[in-house]
Amino acid sequence: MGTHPAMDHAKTPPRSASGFGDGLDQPTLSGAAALGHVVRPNAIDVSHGTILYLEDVTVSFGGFRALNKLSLTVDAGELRCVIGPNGAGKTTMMDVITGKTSPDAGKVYLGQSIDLTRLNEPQIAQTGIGRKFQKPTVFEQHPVWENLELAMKADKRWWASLRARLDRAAQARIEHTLEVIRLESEARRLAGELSHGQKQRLEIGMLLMQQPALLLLDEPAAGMTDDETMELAVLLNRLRGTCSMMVVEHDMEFVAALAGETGRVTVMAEGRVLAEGSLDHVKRDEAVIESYLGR
Amino acid sequence: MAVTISTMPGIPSAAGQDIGRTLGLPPRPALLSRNAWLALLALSIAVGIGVPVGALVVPETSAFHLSAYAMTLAGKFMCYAIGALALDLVWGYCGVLSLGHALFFALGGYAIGMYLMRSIGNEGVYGSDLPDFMVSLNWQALPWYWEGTQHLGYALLLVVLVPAAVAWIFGFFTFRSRVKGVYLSIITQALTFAAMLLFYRNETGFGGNNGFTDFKRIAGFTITHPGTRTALFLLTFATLVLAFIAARAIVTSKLGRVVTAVRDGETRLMFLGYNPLGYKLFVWTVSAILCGIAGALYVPQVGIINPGEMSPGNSIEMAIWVAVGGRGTLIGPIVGAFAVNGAKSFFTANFPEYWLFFLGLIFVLVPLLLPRGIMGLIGNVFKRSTH
Repeated sequence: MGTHPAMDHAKTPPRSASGFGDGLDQPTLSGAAALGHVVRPNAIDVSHGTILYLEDVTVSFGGFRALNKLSLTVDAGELRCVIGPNGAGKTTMMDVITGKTSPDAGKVYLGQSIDLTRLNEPQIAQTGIGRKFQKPTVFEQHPVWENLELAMKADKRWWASLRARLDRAAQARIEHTLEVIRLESEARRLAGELSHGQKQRLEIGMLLMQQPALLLLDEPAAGMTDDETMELAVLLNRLRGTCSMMVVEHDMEFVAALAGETGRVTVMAEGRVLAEGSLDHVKRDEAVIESYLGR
Repeated sequence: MAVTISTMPGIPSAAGQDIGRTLGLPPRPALLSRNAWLALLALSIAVGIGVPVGALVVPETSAFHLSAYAMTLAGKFMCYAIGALALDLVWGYCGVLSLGHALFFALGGYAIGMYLMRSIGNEGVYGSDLPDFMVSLNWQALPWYWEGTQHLGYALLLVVLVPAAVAWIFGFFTFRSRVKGVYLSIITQALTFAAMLLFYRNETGFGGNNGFTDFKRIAGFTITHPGTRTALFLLTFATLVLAFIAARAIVTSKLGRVVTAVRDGETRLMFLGYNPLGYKLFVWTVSAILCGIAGALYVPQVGIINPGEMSPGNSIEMAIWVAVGGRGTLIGPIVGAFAVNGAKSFFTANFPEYWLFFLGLIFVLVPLLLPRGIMGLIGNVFKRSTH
C-alpha cells in the first residue's frame, strides 16, 4: 500500500484551512480499476475496491490502549457491522476516522489517496464521511428543514454561506429527504420539539443530505422501539449501493437484519479485531464466544 | 412494522418536476416583513423631520424645543444601542460572550478623537500645533502613528480598520485554539483591561488618563453648534438603522443559520463539514467594526474619550443591556440599551446613591424572571393574547 503512486498526493497538505471546496465528486462505487488512471486530488479513489483502510492504528489514553494496532478495511459499497463488548474501542475507532481523536500510530486512509490523519473534522466531513452519533444530535433551535439545509452537500465556507440561496434543486432535495424520513408535516417545527424517534430519523435525513461516500453509524438503534429499529434496518438496507456504511451496534437482532446471511461482521475486543466474517461464522468463533457472546 | 417509503430513499435527484415547491421554502428569508419596513420608514421620517424641527426651528422657550442635553442623551443611547446590537451578534447568535466589547467601542472613539484633537489646530491652551497633552509632556513632534490623522477620511478608515484588525487577530488565535465559553469571556475581559492600562500611560501617546477632550470642530463645523449636533444625531440614527438592517441581513442568511448552529452544537456542525473558525471570525470582526463605529459617533457627541471607556465594568454593562433587552433578537439589544441607560440617567439624576443597587438588582432579577429579556416578555404576552 505504501508504494502506490497515489500516496504522494496524500502527502500534500490541504490547500486551505477552510477545507475542501466543491470540487469533490461522488466516487464511483463500482470499484473498476483502470490502469494508469489519473489521481484527482480530493476525490476518493476506490479503484482497488476499498474505501477505508485502517492499519495498525493505536490510540492510548493515559496508560490505557483504547485501540491496539487495529487493522480493518471496508470495501466500497459494503455495509459493515461492527460488534464488540463495551470498551472494545468501537467509538474511539469512529473518533479516529472522523478526526476527533488523532492516533498515536498507524495509517488511516479514505480510498487510496486521502490520509485522514492529516485532516481536521470539517475537512474529513467534506471529503465524504458522515457520522451519526449515539445520541441524536440535531440543532434543536432550528426548524426541521433548516437542519437538512445545514447538512446539505454544498460549499461550506463562510462567504459561500453568506451568499447562499436555496435554489429549486435544493428545495427539491430537502422535500425529498423529508419524504424519505417521513417528516414532511413537521418541516417547519423546531427540531427540539420532535420525539426521540423523529429526531433519530431527522439525523438520518441530515446524513442523506450530506451525500456521504462513507457513513458511520454509532449505535443508531439505541433508545429506539423494536418497530423503529426494524424500520431503520430496512432504511439502511435500501441505502446499500449508494454509499458504504459502517454500523456499530449491540443489538444482535438488528445486526442480523443488516448483515443477512453473507454480510461481513467485524468483532472487536480490547482495541483490535477479534474475528471477521459472516454473522454465523463469527458466532461460532471460539475467541468471540469467549470474550463477548458468552458460552 | 409498516414501512412507508415510497421512493428510492438514496440520494434524491436534483431534477424534480413538481417537487421542490410544495413546502414553499424561501430561497432566502425576507430581510424584514412588509409591516416592519413600513414601521421603520415611518420612524425614519418622524426622526428625520421631527428632530431638526424640534432642535433648530422651534424656539428655545417653547415646550417642544429639543434641548442640546436631551439630544446628546438620546444620541448617546443610540451609540450604546449600536454597541449592544454588535454584542448581540456574537453573544446572542454565535454564543460567544464577549466581556471586552468596550475596547472596540473605545478604539473607534480614539480613532475619531485623534482627528478631533488635530482639528483643534493651534487654538489649544498652549497655542501649539501639537495637541495640548503632548506639549505638557514636552514632546516636539507628533508620534508616527498620528500621521495623517488630520484628515477626516483617514480617521474614519481607522475607525473601521483598527477594531477590525484587533478583533481579527485576537479572534483568529482564540477561536483557532478552540477557546470557548467562560474562558473566552475572561480573556476578552483581560484584553480590554490590558488595553486600558496601556492607554492610561502618558507614553502611549493618547493623552493618558485625561484622554482627548476640548474638541472645537468636526469637518469644519463648530462641534457645539446646534446644527452640528443635529447632524451628528441624525447620522447616528441613520447608522443605527443601517446597522440593524445589516445585522438582519447576516442573521437571515444561511451564514446566520450556521452561526446559530455554532452556538447550539459546534462539534456536531464540524462533522457536517463546516469549519467554525471562518464563521466565528466573520461575525466577531463585523461586531467589532460596528462597535468601533458606535464609539466614533459617541465621542463627538459627548465631547470626551478617556481610558475609562475601556474599563471592564463598561463591557459588562453592555452585556447587561443585551440580556435585559433579549439576546438572540435584534430589537432586544436596542430596547435594552435604551431601557437600562434611561434608568441609569433617571437614577443618577434623582437618587445617585441607589443606581448601583438598582443595577445589581437588574443583574439578579433579569435572568431569574426574564430569561429571554424584555423581548421574551413581549413575545409571551403576544402569544397569550392570540390564543
